[in-house]
Amino acid sequence: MGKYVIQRILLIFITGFIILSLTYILLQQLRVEPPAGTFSAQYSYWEDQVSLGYYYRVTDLHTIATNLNLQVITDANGKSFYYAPYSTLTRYFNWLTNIVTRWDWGTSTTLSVGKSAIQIEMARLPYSMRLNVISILFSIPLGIGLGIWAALKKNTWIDNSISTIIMIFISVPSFVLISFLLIWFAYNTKWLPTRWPSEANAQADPLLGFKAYIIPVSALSFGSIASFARYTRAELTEVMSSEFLLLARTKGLTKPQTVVRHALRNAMVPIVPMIISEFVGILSGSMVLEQLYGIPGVGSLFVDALTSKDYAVVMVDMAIYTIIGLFATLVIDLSYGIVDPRIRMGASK
Amino acid sequence: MFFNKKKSKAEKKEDAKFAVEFDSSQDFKYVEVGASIHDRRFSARPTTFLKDALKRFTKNRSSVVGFWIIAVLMAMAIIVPLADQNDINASSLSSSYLPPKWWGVNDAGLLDGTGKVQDVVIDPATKGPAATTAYVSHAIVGGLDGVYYHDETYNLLSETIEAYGHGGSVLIRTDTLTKNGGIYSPTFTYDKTENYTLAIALNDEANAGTSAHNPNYVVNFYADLNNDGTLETEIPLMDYSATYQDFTLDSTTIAAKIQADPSYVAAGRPATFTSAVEISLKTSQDPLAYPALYIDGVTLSSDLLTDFSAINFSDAVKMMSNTTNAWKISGSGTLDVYHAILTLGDFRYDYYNAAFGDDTYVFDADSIKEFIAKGWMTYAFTGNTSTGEYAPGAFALTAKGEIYCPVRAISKESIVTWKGSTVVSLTCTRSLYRYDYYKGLISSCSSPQYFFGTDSNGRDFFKIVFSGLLTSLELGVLCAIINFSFGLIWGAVSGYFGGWVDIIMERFTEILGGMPWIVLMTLIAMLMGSTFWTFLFALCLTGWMGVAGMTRSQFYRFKDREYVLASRTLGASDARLIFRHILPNGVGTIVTATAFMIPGVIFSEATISYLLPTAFGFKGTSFGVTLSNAQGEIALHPYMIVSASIVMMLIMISFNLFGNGLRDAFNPSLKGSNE
Repeated sequence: MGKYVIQRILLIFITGFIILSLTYILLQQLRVEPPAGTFSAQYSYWEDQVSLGYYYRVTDLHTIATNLNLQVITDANGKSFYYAPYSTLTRYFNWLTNIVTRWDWGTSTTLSVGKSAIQIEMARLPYSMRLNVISILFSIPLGIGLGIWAALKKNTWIDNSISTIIMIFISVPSFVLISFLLIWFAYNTKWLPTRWPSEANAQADPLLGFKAYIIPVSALSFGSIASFARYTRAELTEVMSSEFLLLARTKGLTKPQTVVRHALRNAMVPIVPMIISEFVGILSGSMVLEQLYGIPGVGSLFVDALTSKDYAVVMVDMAIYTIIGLFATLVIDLSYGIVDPRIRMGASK
Repeated sequence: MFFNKKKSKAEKKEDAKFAVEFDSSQDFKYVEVGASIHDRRFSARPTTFLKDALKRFTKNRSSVVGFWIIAVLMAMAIIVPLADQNDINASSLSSSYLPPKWWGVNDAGLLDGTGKVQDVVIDPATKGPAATTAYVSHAIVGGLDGVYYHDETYNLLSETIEAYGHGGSVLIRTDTLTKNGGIYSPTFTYDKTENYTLAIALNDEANAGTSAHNPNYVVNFYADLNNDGTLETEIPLMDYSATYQDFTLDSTTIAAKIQADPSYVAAGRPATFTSAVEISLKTSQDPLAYPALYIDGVTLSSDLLTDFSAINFSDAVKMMSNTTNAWKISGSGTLDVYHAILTLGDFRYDYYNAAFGDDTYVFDADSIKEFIAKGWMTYAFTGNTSTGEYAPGAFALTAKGEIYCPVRAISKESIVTWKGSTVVSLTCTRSLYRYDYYKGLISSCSSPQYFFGTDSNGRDFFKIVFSGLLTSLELGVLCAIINFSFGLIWGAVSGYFGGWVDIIMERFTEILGGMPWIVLMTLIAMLMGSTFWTFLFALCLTGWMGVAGMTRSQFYRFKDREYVLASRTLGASDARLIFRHILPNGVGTIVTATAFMIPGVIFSEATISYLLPTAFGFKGTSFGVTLSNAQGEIALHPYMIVSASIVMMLIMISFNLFGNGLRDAFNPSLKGSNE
């Protein structure tokens, strides 16, 4: 098993490497959005690009006259500087070298000019993480609790109503849910803020800072509460009808004892990997939610970067999403082995 | 245990019969001696896999409900864009932002095209909404009786308050603590034979009587003693008042103060001179004094009936909005209004009545002649030629006009004759929806009823939603078909042949599938533009993988089964093995996955249009674009996002119910579990 996990992790890095390489090369095919700002900022950006090995200064007049694909900046005195890109493959290899040797993922061109993409990413990460952690803290106990309740009251009105609610929350897209939350609690009753407050506002008014969490956390939790509840209910009802529970009852255990000691333990087995993969996802932000509520997290960063064509930032954000996605697949794959010990992932015949 | 039960009569009879018929020689008897025994046909009709699945599907009530909701929504997506004649490409601003209307105006105010409106500025003259607001009196539910009036006080003079406000106090301040400043009145001619009294009322409430709020203020006479047109002399009437209270100067005091003033004496005691009253804060005298003065009114009067109406005021708003002959600022004073009163109204507003009801409109004679020519109405022009307003001539609507004619009544005929030409116009009661129909803005000659309301351009949101849904459904169905066909072939090849083919194909899937779909989507949208077909391409690019994976695992499960081996030994081709023997086993799961794909595509399209509406949103009226536009109006016109969201929710929930039922029905292991 250990060897298999190591193998899989290595494979994740290889797959991730290929995916990111492909994306980099594809992104390089798009039209470059030169950085905005003053001449000195632009000049330092392009000189930086030269020193990183993506572009080179063109001084040869003939090239300037014939090559249409040049980046031009002009200083206050009217002197122009011309830069031309190296071929895509050269840029790709230089990009790799920069990442491996200096952990340099590039510089932002439009979002905040001159700042390194990694820095921007790191500044945004805490917002997404905080929201995810809080919503996990709510969703796991609530979801499992509701699932257990529904399973114990199987085929009663409690079970039916819980199942219906679960059904609705699983089906309803998150933006619909967010819209309804916004309409009812922010616009109609004015209890909650309609947008994420700025850092300064939240600090000036701690209550506002607290209230701002309510809509995003509920939007994030409802879906996972529903899916936890559904899985728990399904697993627990299955275990509850198995023979070893009947045996436990005939031995003289009370119903609560059988549920806690026998049924729950068995039912939890497939739920645990779900919890783990939930934790893997902490790093990623929900794009829809962050965009709609104006939360400065990694999800909205991705959308912002794409909209303003800041490809360095897009690359870093994508790297995070890709690696998280791959790790989540690994966890789910490994969980098969935990669910059913008869499945040995990667075992030869 | 035995019961000594008495045997019933019938049982006794049976026993007797048995005793008679029993014959010990016939203890054993061949039952089917000589009969040929063979397999019999099943008397029950055999059922196929699909029929069985259908039978079990129909037993799942919620799935059937889900199926019917989907069917209805799909039918609506096809029918509504065709049947609904409202134009969703043209815009008509008069009918923008109409709320949903399903039936006539009712007391609950639910889906009846009305909306609660709060804090609308009321014009005190008409008691109805002010002309500057977007509301008209006749569309208020219950008329003016339906308005709940309430007064609000404002401390800032705006155009609205100047036009519709009243009351309040004048607030004088100086802009720095050590400078003097105040206001002075329009000029009047001081005549020393007249007896003047001056009263100044201060607002006690604003100062709340605290000693800390004692402003130091003075009242002066500005005098133009030499008649040169400038008010150069300042004659104090009241010196620094230490207490904050109303005060009155009687005629003797005023006369004494003026006539004892050295400047007055020096100027040769003129009998009349131009003068003005100044009220000023003297903060330079006492920097600690409260630098604000609230004046409720000023009354200057004399024993001769001189008109001081330009000077006197008891209404700050009126005083301050009078620009021609107003009090002016002196020194470094600033002038503000304090607690000006504006009447606001809350009411329920019938938006449809406002947009399509009757209003008053002036038609020119040509329009009227056109209506007459159309055979809608008859009207006898009065024939007057001199400028003026006249009672209208005989007016009648024809039977056709009852339906179509925008003119419902004529109240007067106005005639303007100028330089020999005469212009006739008629003031009429106009039916707006008939007028819109006449202008071609609406498709039928009746007051429209928009189920989902209208958007910012006055377009029928119901039709927009279902047109968008049609595009999204087309996208979903096409995508499902392509993914199903391609995934099936890919998975079949990969699973059936296995080995190296499988490994290479799997790695390809893994890499393509590992790329976040939003990135793929964006790359394609950026490289190839954002149209229906690129969108379809982008969705299909990764969408087939689910089907492929499922087909592959089905093949792994079944390809080594004995019946396949048997068929192979009989010489069946690969294609026959794949399509006749292996595939039918997994078809249920794969079909279910394909059914789930349609809402998945709608969801993906909505998400991307939502996230990146400007840059990468699908161009056209897709459901996602509709939702995204409605999201922008969430603050003021939430009915749009609500109705679109409900449709989205219905689709998602019913597809889920339907899909679950389909999955259970196609799962043979669940056969009989619910019976």
